[in-house]
Amino acid sequence: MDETTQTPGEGTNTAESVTSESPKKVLAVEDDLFLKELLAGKLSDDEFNVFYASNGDEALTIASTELPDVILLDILLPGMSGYEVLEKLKADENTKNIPVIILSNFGQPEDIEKGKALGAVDFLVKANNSLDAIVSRVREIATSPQA
Amino acid sequence: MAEQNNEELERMKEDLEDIEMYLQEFSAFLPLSVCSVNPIGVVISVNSAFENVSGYSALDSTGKRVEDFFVETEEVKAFLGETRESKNFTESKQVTLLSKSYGKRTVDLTASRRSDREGDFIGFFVGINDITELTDLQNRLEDKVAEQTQDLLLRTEELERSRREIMLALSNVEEERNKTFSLVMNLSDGLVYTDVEGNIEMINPQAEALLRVNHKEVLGTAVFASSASDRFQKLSASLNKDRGLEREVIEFSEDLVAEVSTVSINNEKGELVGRVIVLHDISKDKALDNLKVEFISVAAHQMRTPLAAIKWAFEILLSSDDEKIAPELKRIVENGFESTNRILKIVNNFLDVDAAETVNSDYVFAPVNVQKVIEDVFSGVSIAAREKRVELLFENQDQVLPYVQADQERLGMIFQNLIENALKYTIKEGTITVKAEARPRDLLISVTDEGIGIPVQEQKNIFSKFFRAENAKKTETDGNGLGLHTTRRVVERHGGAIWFESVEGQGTTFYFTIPLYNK
Repeated sequence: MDETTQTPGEGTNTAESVTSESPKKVLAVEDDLFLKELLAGKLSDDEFNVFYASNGDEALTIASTELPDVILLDILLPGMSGYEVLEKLKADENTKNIPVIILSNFGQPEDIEKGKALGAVDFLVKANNSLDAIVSRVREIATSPQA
Repeated sequence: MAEQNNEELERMKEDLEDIEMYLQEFSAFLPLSVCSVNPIGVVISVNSAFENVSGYSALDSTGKRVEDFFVETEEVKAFLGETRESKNFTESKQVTLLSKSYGKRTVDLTASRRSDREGDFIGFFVGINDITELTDLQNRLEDKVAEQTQDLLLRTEELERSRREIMLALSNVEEERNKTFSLVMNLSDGLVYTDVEGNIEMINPQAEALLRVNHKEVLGTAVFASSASDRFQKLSASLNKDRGLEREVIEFSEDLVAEVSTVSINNEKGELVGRVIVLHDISKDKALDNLKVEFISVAAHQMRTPLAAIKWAFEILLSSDDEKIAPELKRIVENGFESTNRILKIVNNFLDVDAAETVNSDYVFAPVNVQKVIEDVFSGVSIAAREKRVELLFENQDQVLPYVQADQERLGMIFQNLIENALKYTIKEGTITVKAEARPRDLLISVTDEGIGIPVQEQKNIFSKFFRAENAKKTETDGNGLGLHTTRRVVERHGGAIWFESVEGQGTTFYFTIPLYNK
């Protein structure tokens, strides 16, 4: 994907940004409002430009229009499951290169296997990770050089 | 002429005298007692045998009435009367002689009629034959026969009695057999009885139903090589010819899981006479177990989302500036954060159980260096051990331990659980010793602590899900009763076994085996 051409117009304050580039875009797909709010707060504090989706359809729409740098994807969603969303993202030429981190409360080995097989770059269990850990993983992936 | 006559007379007299002498000698010699009786029944002469038997001299005897020598006087008179009328000898008659010397003697009385030349009756010869001894002998013989007859009767009776007893015993045996038979036939467990060679001698209806076979097609066939049905084949495949007693859970089909055990039947001498294979249907237990696991899994998943939210909320509060939050509140928030982490740990434990329960969840078996695993676990718990002043020791019998065939992470979990438990239930100070010993087929590992031990009455439940011993609850309030349950599942999944020895107040040793890696 081409990061440099996607400069967002939303005027967030970029005072302490590590890079000189514009803030990275993160799409968080999460249906639990409270979790979403906590994630949002943390990610915004860390200078990310955050987009939200609370179901699969919304997620796919935002992903194809905004082309975020990273997608945080829950599995248990109303309607389409996170796995289906992942499949659709990977099937679409526009979105197939966006790195997807699964952030779920599923954490059985077979869940992780399935997520990785579908193309997720990482699989984080919500309850076992602090917000800091999640955010630093998002940053790591958003700034890593992509093909 | 007269002279001639005289001479003749003289010669005749001499002849007569000769005859008389002859007769006297003869009669004296004759062993039979004989007396001569005149027509009116008076004894006129006796021989010496008569004197001897009767005890009366010839002088005493002569002139006595013959019947007076006997007890049965009338009978003797009648007998002589009969004799008188008959031409020949009469038959003998048994009477009792009153002997002067010997008392009463049983005698055979015979008599013959005497006649003169004209045929006129001139008296009797009476013979007496002492048959007392013969009679005695006969009586004794009869007594003996009677005695033996009695004996025989007794014995017959005895025989009859024992016959009845045997019949009774037989009917008891029969009854016992019937009881056993109906017990076997109506037992809710399936039973298959085989002889020493493993040929099926009996199969009850439950086993027929469970294995989907008919007794007609399996009786007499070898249990180790049966393919009477898919299920029977499954059973055959898992039976071990050599081992007497074993227990295994076999999943015959989706709706049949059975616990199969083999019991050796020995006679009084201890020789193997056959085996019983018991099939205990645990499908329902299994289904219930699955339901429980599913419930735990769902509940745990459901809980993790709000718990993650709470955790993150506390995290945000904690990381916010000190000015925004009063110090006394900060401590409360810290406690809240800690508690949430504890709940999460418990919930995660539930999910570990879930993973262990899942039969074919992704175990990756590979050669594993046990020593390395133990060292890792030791270093993980070293801080906690130091705080409790507990020493961790590893003693291996062999310099270099052979590799085991294991899932490294799960093997670590076994050690982690056992060593953490040992530490948790050592109140203060002590040693935890881990030993490993290579055996031909597996590695025997023991974890020994000097902790609170497991009360005897609670030992049987120690591997049960959610079970916690009373003294463990008092010592360590945290704990969900899943650790050892999970540990056992994992050990068994590796094909090993786990057991323990424990003395309350002195400590516990857990043993487990893990198969060696086979090149």
